[in-house]
Amino acid sequence: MGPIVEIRNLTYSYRRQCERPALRDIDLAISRGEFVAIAGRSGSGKSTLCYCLNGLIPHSFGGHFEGEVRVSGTDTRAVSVPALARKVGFVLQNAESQLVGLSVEEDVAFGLENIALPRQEVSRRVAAALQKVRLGDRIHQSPWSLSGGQKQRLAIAAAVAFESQLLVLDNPTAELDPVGKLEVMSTIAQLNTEHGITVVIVNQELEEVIPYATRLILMDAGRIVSSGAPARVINEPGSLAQAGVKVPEVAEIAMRLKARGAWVGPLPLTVNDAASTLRSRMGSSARASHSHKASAKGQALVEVQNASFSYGDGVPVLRNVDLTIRRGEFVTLMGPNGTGKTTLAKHFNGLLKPTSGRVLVRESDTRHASVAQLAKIVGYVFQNPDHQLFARTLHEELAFGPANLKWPSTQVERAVEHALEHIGGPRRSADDPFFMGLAERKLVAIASVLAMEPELLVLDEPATGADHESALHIMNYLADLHKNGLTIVIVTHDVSLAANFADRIVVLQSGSIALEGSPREVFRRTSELESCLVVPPQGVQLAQKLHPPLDACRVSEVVEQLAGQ
Amino acid sequence: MADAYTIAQVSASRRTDPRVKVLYVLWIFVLVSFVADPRILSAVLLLTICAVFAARLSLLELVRSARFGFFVALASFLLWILFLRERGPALLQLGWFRITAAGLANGWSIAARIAAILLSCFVVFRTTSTREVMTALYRLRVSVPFAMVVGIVLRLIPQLRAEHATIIEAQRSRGVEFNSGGLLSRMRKHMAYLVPLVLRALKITSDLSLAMEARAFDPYAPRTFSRNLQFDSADYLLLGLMAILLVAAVAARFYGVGAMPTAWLPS
Repeated sequence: MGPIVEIRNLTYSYRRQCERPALRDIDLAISRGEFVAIAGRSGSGKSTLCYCLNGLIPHSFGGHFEGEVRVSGTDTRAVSVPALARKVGFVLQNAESQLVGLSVEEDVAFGLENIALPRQEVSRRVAAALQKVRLGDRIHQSPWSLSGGQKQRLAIAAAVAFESQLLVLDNPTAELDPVGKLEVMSTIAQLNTEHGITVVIVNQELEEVIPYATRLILMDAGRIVSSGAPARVINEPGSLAQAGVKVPEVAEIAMRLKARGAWVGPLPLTVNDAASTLRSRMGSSARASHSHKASAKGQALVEVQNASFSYGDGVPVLRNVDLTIRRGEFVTLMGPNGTGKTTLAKHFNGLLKPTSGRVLVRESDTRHASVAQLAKIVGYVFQNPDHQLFARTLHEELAFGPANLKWPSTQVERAVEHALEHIGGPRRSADDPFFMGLAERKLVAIASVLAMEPELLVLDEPATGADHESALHIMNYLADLHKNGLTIVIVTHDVSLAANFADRIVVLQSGSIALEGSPREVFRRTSELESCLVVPPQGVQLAQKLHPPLDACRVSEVVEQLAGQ
Repeated sequence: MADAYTIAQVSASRRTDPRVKVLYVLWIFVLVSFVADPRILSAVLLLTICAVFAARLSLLELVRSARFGFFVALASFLLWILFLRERGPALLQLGWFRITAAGLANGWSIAARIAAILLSCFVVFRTTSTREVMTALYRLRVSVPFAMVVGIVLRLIPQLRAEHATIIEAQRSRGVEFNSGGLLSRMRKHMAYLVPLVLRALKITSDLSLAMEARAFDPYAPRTFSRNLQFDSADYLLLGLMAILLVAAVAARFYGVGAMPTAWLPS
């Protein structure tokens, strides 16, 4: 049997972008049963390559297509997208936008009804597909009542119901919480190992796919720049950096050690690899534990006192929460979806008011203040900038908040100028935010809130969705603001971000605070973290696996302590 | 949240053939266009309210989710009362403000029409899945792309409602107070959520169309129908009743019954 995917000399450009091909000279063969992970920065052509596999390109997108793509021997240009759907299961990033039915069963059946299968066959395949993704018991439920991970598993079921041998997934875990990511990845792995389905998955987080992938492909500017076994690709010097892909934390640590001559041999792929390499050469001399810098406690900015909250249905989302955010802190709120993180954060600027207990912002009760009044003190940046940005120019966007606060026009102008400095200076003031990429729109959203000169900035997943380089840029921008005195609270699932940037972590569980302290203190309490479904970042896991364990949390600290031996 | 919208209702109206439900909406629409007498319109409105209860839906919740429509109904009611305050003897007088029988009758007939149409639409949409509405429209020989558009719009309502709520919160966090300021500044403020809402809607629909295409959707290809639509006796009964009432309404109107009584005519 020949390869399931064969791409020869593929060059493709979208309509009206002939001078800038999205894919250039792609040659690729994928054998049956492979698990192929594709990574690269935004705009490198990953999604475009996926669309080529199920015929959306060229059939739906049009554009200029050169070369040949064959799936199971069929030329994708010779057959229609619906015909290809039988050969290629396809899953998109956003789980909700793929929901078609009002029940789980209906949703999976939709595709099968489209190809006019007999009703009995539809029912048989629906049941089998749901079994494969372990949603068999949810068949009559509304898909909207499922968790994020379950919704994405449903989309996978709808794709495999075609009984195709190839499953293509375009960033399926990007919008999920860690629990969801894990369940989706293990479902995909199971389809690969138990049912022999060939998997092609776009995923920015190498840490997630490396345990399963048989091949890693790196893309840059429309080309495949590296392709091979993950261990080989990661060890190619500079390959990940060129493709703008985040190096898994353990590999990052090894890389930095290598640069200082403190690591020999190939880079590790997993925490266990790294730990065993390090253990074999480490002496047993106990290191003096670094005393951590006690952060200077400023005065209280937000005080949540015994606050509980429930939405209209009466189910409590927050239960007796006590929390103080002090001036100058950098706090992350963590915990799986549905534990009340965002609900709690929305109390800080009065979007929500506690049903019992109280929330004080600069010592005054939020119940007696409007959101607009609190906006002067607490800025809130939503996760998706699309929900926030609307103006035709950057200037108008940045002036919107200050004008709402009824500042005099000279003050508004000053605030806009100041905010512009962070995002490219005055020459950009006439730019249209609509035409900017996601990362830049995120920065504009942050700047548009900063223009109101708040004392506390609350951000919901500021880096999620952006590629590695952009995420780093956003986080460094926030770190700079923090250094200059801004108090920051981030709602996030990203443990690596929390470990490397925050000075306090608050973990919520079922609407209450389960754990709280410096990253070192919190990540040390492994069993409690486990019950809160939070997995420490690789750097912390590695530090804990060594004998004696390192007292380190940030990647730089781990490297320092290991290199200092 | 979006969920209330999408929870499949297990009730009498859920079991009714979707074709009957689609025809019911059409029927109410025709009925209220034919009849003008506020007393008969009250009866029609009562009927749609009964349908809400028969579907075991909460009337209050339904009114809340269609509050904009009901607001329009209320506004037209009040406007007619205001317009016709000089027509005939006052039923109630407060200074210059008078309520006349004509104002009351005309206001009520408009409001009852709007409310009946809203209630009938919402009952059907809440109790019928997108797939069923589409199947019904296919079977009623409505064009496939039209059935598709209806299906997609129904499917998008819950998601757009959630988006709308998030956008409002995001803009309120930027200090907007939507209910204050002059006309011009209010319009500007509304742009702050209309623009993101429209852009999000475009994004969501384009994603959805990709997902549907990837699942072999082709409006012109033969397809399997979710269930063998078969009228049962209850469906025939409902269709029969609807037909009889419709014929009666048309015939009555022909003989001059059901029009707005002369005493209440606006001019």
